Amino acid sequence: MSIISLKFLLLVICLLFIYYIIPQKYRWIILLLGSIVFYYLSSSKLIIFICLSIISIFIIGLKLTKYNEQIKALDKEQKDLKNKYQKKKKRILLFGIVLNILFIIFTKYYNFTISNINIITGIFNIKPLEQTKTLILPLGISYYTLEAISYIVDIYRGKYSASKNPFKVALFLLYFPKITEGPISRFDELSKEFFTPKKIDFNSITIGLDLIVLGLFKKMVIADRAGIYVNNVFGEGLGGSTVIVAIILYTLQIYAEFSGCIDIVRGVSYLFNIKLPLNFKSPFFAKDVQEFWRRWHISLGAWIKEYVFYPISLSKMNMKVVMFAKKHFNNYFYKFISAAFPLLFVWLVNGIWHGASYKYIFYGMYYYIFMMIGLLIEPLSSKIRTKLKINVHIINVIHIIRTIIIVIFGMALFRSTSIAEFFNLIGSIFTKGSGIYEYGIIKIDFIILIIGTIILLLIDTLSEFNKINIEEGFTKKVIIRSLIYTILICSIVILGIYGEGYDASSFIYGAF
Amino acid sequence: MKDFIKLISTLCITFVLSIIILFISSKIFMPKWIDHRMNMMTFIMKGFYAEPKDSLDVIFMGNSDTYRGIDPLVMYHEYGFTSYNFVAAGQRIWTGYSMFEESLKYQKPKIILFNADELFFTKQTSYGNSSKVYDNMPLSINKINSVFDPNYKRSRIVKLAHFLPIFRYHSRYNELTKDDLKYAFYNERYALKGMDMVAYQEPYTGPKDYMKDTGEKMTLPDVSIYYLDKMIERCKQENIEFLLYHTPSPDSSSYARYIAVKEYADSKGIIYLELNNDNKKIGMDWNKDTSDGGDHLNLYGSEKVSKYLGKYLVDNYKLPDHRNEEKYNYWNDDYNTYLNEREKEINSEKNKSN
Amino acid sequence: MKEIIEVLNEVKEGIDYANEKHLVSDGLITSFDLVMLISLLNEKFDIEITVVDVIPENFESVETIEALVNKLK
Repeated sequence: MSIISLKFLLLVICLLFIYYIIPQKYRWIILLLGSIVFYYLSSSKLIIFICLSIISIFIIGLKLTKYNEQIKALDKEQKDLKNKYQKKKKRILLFGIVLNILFIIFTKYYNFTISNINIITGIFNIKPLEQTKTLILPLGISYYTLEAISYIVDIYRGKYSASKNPFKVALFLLYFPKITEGPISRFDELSKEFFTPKKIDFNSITIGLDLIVLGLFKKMVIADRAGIYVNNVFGEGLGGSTVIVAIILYTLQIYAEFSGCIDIVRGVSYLFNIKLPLNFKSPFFAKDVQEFWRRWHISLGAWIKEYVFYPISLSKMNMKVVMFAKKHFNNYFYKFISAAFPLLFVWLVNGIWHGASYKYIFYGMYYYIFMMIGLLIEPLSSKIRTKLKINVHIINVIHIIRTIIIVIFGMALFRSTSIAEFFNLIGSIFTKGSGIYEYGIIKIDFIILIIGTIILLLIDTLSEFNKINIEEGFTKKVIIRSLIYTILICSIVILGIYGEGYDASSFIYGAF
Repeated sequence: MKDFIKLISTLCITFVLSIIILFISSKIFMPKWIDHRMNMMTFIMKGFYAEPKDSLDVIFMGNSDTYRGIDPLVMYHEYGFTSYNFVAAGQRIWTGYSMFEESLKYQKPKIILFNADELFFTKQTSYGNSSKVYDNMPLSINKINSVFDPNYKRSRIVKLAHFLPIFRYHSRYNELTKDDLKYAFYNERYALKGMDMVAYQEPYTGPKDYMKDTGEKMTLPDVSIYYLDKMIERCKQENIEFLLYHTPSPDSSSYARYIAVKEYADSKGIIYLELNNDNKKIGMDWNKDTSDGGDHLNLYGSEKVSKYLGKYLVDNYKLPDHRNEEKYNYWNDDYNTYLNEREKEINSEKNKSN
Repeated sequence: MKEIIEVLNEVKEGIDYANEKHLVSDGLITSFDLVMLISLLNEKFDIEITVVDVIPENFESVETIEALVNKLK
């Protein structure tokens, strides 16, 4: 079920009604039931996969908590017993992680895995395995798998104890606003929101409506309009300015669409007085690629940092490398070397998470390379900067522009269907263009896109300098909010891309 | 509590403002069907509503056969009674019924004539044809009943868009013209009284005895009977004469159809004027009087049919003669406009063929 | 206290560690710096800072770092 559809609207309205009638402490149960209905209507029998994940982490969580308590009850002298329990903990955690990863390999990554296995069978002249014609794609598996792993790892680390109620664990994974596109959440964060008595908060509902209307505007007026041009140009062997405009418009499209859908999703959640974490924070103000990924798809970067980067960086092996580098290399190289290993994993995970093909791995490596180059050059360039006494604001602007350019091409890679197509695209920039008005949108559409971009930039700029905070809603004044709603809603109805010939409800980040 | 009041106020103000803007933009974005290709449907529909209340003596209903085949101004000029073609291109019986109900809200005719041509078409008509009617109807209970009539089969969204057409026509933002603005709130009388006047001539070359009995049998579809029954009943209640008629149209006429309709009409005690049996009396010339080889008539054909049919009506029914009434002076103005348009149309057709 | 400032300077120079109270949230220390810092702290104080301890609150200032170190000793 698309989150932009009458069906979804009806579901939300029905749920809201029942939700606020039921006594406060049982309201989360309605969310669970609604989520099950939503999931089943979207993926029907494939709901079995998320059920398996829920059951696995519920049981493993309880076991880990039991071991944690047992370890706590030991005296300092019982080191042997402590080690035995630690080993058991490690084993069952590993089992849980591998099991959930197997689920996603068997579904989303099935053909990719098979094609890689076939490289080996090819070498040894064994009969290649067959790929499947239709991948099994349980809704939101990329998102909830990460959440499932975070649950058992957090319990393993003693951050909190496992829930004794399997339905609470179920809600954590199934919660319908975040199942299609995230944000990727943590159990303790959401528990605080779900399992406390939820009273009706009209301010929260208002903020929710703000976000929903804004998100719909971003998606239907800006993203889908840019998408028409992008879809007509990418992969069509065009060149020059035609392609450059397509590349820029794609970044606009994916930003407006992804952040717009997150707005809708978080807005819907606000209607139920449940706050979901932010996923975007004026990403185009980032001064380097690292910072960009702390501002774009924040929940993914945070998850990878907590469950890939730190474990690997703080591992005994990596610590040894870090100390070695500090002793034997000057400041110039040590940061670079000590970051190289963990970051490689970070970007491999980021890349492969986005899609089951080498193009996506290359996408991760694209950012890895830029990050490594950045780390390498950083000490040198900062010396040059201080020597030349260049104004820090000018430096920031240059860095921001540099980052935007890297990101725009990164997005073009993301959009290309293969690494080869990406390089063809880059090459085609230097060939002759064929205008921009014959690819599905005309002059007035470009004007609408420019105005839309200005609106996005305005919101991001004001947020960045703390002049506004969307989380507190557009405004406190009824008249102004009414005017904003009216303008946004009428823009969506009159300028939105829907109806004959358009299909507004297919999403870029939704097939994860 | 304060937050609740603020929220409700915001929603109310937003709703009111949005509806106003969407209503106005609906009027502007709606296509204006104001030429022959679009069958003058905007004029036909809007013109009807602009006629003064209770000023029409006769209303002709039906499909494109009527707007090409019946000339209300010829009848006014010859016989003095007022009439209008409240019809629609590609009309189906359920839409014909809704226009019937609609007409009785604004007029008290003495006679309503319903063209039998559409009675045998039961498949849904094109989206454009139904939009031309429903998008141009003002909001009313009859409109709601008509749009949501189960026999009118469309998706819910298309049906809702009949009430706020902006939802269907919003993509026209890049093709809006001055006419769209000019005719957005159009509210003037249509001098041609629901006629689509064309001078183009394309002869009908088929058999002249197309109404002979070939042994074929046809039955009047149930859905047509259903709506005809309703219209006949309503006319009985309102003391309105209800007649069935069929304009000359070799393309869509046959003995089988004639008999099927006649049997129904006889069973209900209704007069059925099958004019395809009166081609000679009317003086139809199949070389000159049709605009498309025998499906629709042109202004020459409609003039003959209208004189003939008008005479039948004044001879058999008590119809007033408004030609010297001051109250109906504007019909003389409309008739002059009609003459000018007629001459323009005939001349432009002559120029085209030279 | 002084020792901690020493360690911090080993990781990254040019910051007024005595007075800065938002080392992580103001972006003065990056995640790489954090890794370096942790490895040095582990070595110097013979403690084991694990991933669970790696939350911004623990590394915002010299005081919070000292508190963490004392907790783990």
